[in-house]
Amino acid sequence: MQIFTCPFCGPRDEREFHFVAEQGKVRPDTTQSVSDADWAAYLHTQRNEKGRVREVWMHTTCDEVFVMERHSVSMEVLATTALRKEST
Amino acid sequence: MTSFRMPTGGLIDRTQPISFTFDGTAYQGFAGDTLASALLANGVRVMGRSFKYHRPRSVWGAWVDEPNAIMTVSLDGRDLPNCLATTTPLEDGMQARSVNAWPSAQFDIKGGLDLFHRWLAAGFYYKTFIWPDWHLFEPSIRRMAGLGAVSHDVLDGYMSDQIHDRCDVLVVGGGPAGLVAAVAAAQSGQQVVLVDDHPTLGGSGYQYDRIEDMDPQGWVAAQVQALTAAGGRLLRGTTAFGVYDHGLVGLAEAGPFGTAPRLWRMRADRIILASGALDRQITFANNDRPGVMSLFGAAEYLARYGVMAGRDIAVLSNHSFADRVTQRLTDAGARIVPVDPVTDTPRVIGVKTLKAIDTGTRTHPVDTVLVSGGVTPLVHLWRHAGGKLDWCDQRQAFVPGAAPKGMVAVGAANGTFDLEPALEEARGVGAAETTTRPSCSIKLTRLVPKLGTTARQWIDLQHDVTLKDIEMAARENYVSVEHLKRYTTLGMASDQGKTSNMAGLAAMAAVQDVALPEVGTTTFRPPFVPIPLETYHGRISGELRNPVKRLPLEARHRAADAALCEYGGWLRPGWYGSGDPKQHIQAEAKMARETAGILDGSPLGKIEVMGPDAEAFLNFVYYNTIRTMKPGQIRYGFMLTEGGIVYDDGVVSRVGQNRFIVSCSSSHVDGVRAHLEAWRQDGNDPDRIFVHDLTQHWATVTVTGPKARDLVGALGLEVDLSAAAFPHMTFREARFHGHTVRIARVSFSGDLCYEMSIRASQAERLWDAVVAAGQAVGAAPIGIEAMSILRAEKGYIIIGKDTDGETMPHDLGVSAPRDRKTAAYIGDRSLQSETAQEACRKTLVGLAVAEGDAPLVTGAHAITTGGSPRSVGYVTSSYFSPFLGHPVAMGLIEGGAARIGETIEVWHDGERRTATLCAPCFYDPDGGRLHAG
Amino acid sequence: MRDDRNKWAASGTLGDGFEIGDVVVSRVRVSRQLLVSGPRVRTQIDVPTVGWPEICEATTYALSLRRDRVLVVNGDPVEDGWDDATSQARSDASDLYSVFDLSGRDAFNVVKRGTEISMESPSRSVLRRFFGLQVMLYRVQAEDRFRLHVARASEDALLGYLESAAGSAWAARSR
Repeated sequence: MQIFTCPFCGPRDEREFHFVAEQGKVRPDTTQSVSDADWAAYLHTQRNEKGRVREVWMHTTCDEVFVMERHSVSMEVLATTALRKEST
Repeated sequence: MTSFRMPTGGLIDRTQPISFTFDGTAYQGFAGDTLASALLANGVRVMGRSFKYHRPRSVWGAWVDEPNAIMTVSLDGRDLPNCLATTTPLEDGMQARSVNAWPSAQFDIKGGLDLFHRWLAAGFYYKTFIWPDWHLFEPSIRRMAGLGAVSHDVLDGYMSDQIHDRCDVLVVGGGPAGLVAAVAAAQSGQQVVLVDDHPTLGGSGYQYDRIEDMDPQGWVAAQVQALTAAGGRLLRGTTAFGVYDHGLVGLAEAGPFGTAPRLWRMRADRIILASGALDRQITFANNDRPGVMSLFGAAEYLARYGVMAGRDIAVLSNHSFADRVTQRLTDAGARIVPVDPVTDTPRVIGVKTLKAIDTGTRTHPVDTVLVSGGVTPLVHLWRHAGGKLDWCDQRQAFVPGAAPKGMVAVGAANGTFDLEPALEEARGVGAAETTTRPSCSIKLTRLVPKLGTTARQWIDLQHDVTLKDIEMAARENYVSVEHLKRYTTLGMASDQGKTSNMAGLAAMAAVQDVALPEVGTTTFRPPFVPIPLETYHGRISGELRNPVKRLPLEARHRAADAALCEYGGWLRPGWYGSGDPKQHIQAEAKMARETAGILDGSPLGKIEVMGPDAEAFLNFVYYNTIRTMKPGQIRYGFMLTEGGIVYDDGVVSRVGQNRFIVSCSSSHVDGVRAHLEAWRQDGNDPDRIFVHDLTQHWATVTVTGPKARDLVGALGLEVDLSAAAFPHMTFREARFHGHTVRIARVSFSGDLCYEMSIRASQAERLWDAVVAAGQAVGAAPIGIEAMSILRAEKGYIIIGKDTDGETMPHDLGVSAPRDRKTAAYIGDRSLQSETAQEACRKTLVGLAVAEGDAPLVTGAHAITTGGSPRSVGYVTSSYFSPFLGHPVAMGLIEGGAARIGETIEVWHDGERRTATLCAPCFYDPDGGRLHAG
Repeated sequence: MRDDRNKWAASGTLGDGFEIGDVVVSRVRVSRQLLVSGPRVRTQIDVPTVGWPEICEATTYALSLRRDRVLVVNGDPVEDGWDDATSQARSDASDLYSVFDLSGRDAFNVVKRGTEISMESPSRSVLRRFFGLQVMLYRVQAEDRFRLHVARASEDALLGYLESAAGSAWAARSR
């Protein structure tokens, strides 16, 4: 099992985590007109890169959602970033 | 003592004799023997029959590289199949039986199969047995092949213990290099764990007369002492079977015979691979005969077990390291005949007993042929971790190349075959110094298999793959190493090509006339040796494999004779009573319509959403409008996915300006919580919204039916239950013996219904009071099955049963938000897509059958008539309604909502029936009973 | 649905705990458990906060769960709901979690059978996945005394895993 680092809890077994999405997708403003192509891209298009990837993960143990940068071939974890600045 | 057992020498204890049997014959060995060493000591040669051709076989090697000596072993009533005789420690009373042979390995009646070898070559299923239909032959073929039978008795207590651990340095291999590396690392202050798969450490060290001027046993003991003194840990009889991501190593620690290994999930910052090397096969005529063995295997038998492989020995070798072993065998009294495999064309003579070796020019009478075509570093774990291999021409072997992160190889595993340089290299690595591979003294002549001979030459002993099979694979263009492997099955047996990979590559290289490294290598995958499946799950089995959640009221349900079953992850009452379920379920559903039913609704989700942005947040998460709810109100709603699919349904209660309770489906609680948290943190201000899952803090007792008000009124809760004061879809708080009870007037049944939630520690008290009050009005507990009928009579859906992966809210008849809600919500844009607007979408309808007909089958398909029928939907729920006296059913049918009144054909398992589409509500469509005054 | 009543051992079979080999598991009655969430909650509470691997010695303390959530154990009664003044969401969770202590010479050997954990790897949260279950795990009163909070519906499962692991730890010692 891999070790992922939750920004709050620290390093934990990968089974405590769940993949959420590729990082970088912004939800279109659906109160305005959104084209079929834009909406389809938001729903379905993935970059699916080989190598460095930036992903949104959830640490389901504490529910923290964060960004993890990984290498999709070597499985190395490159960086873990909280969505928000530390408050304390 | 037989003449194959030396009077002294080896690690065995000659004062502890051990009795055992093999194929019914009694033999004796000693403590410290393996099954194989004891059999060899007794002069037993034939130990099994090969997989395909049933050729008599003996041992090749002394440890895990053994491809032939596989046995079923029994001890004290425990029976284990597929034991490798070379790694099974001998125990008193053991009974070993050869596999794939009847009545014994020595006299196997299927030995005649070998005569048909020309029709049993690689790919023979598809060639010899393709006509008329190969399936006809398959059962017989499978019965004839195979290794070992599994006893039908599951071994009691055969459970793998599993434990996590970590260390700074994990040293894999307790031979000379591994030992000194571990000592150096431990003495430099590192937390070290050393693992070795033998019961006794020392690896190949016992094959030397002296190590650093000590006898090997004394030297090994000194290393062990130094290691433990420096705080190092040792795991003997433990195989490192795989390296996984982020420095995780799987270790299987063997226990007493018949017990499952212990799994260590060992996390190591650094792995030192000292796994040693294997002897390399040589391909020559009849090289699979009993008596043909690995040269270094013979050295091990002598060094560890004091057993001579033979008396008159031919040594086939192409390299200088063979000399040391040959000398030791000579010193032990063997007569040696050297044979050069490069210049000669060797051929073994003898079937069950080796008689001679023909070099092409002469025939030498010998009883044993010892073979070494080179030394192959064991690089499996290196490759698991993604390390690269380099080809070395001098060694004619693959050696570790570019290292994976956190791993370094030492000793023979690194191609450092000479002892002193290996010790120096290992000490440096253990102390974390940068080292380069020292030069190797080996002088080796490249050996190329001779193609096109008439006699067969074996490549893979366990799967009976010969050089002819390789030649044929090449002729049929299966030349890539991946195709070669899978077409011939070379390297795919339980020994995973330990002796056959290099031979196979050399053969394909010869066939294609290229250098060996150009053929390539296949992927090394864990486990390094066969590991029982039990090891991977351990105590996660039986009731603990997928434990159900338990209700606070379980004891009450059991006492009331409830039939309990898993439903949505919880153990819940399906109905109450023993015997025929149908009658109980029908009676409960009828009673709930006539008087009242009492249901344990505790698993219902109770997720509180609080904060100044809670209202806006839920308004976004829900399809329905939440903004307009007032405190005390309950609203039914859907949660959609961004694809517009209905993900969950449930009710939301507004407790206050900044406080809501989301009552989602019991099976979706974790999913809904995660869904809320993901959106809360990524897209909203999490400082203004908080999600508390309190589902299990509260138990819920539900009372449904015309008598519900009377029943609840008798509990003394001091709440005005009149319709005017307490309308449908509102809630109140009351006190029950000093504890808060939240009473929600919300209905799953279509009847007057109250859901009472109280803290779980008070559940039994409330339940007892409700059941007692129920007796006065003719009400009693009902289970899930009855509940399913009640809600179906009313047309209330169950997500995932009456909806599927394409169902959108307007398919269920709920289209107001889609048309009118202006605020954004999850899934909104998807409801406007082309697919979402199609007229032929499957929509929810009721399905009625003719009077007296049986209920439709759930899952039955509605089909078009005439021509080639296709499915236009299916029955999602179907029951016999005891209250209405006829079947009720719902389904998702294409364009169904616009086809009310039409008759359709319903097909199931060859049977056709007709049904009429109707509104999906068979009970109280006007809602009079629901809003009961 | 099937009738599986005999397939599952009755809830509560392991009662309030057990003793196997060098391991003792015992139920702990705490007076109150309160979930408190808020953007500044960690600065607002005035009882000791507990993470991993520190040893909690207080009777009233706050378990650190997330950057914005604690569980106050044995604290004063407080009204549920949203408090605007402090920006806190509070929920009584006293019946949500069952609490057990795990002690004895082999206590940590049992813990290591349920999750990958070490004293050298600190964590700000006591939440853990333990034998596949969501728990809070921390030390109380002594180096080798561990306290576990588990959602009540999973209490039987947790006790089952602990019992099995304690048996394994004992067998390992006896080998």
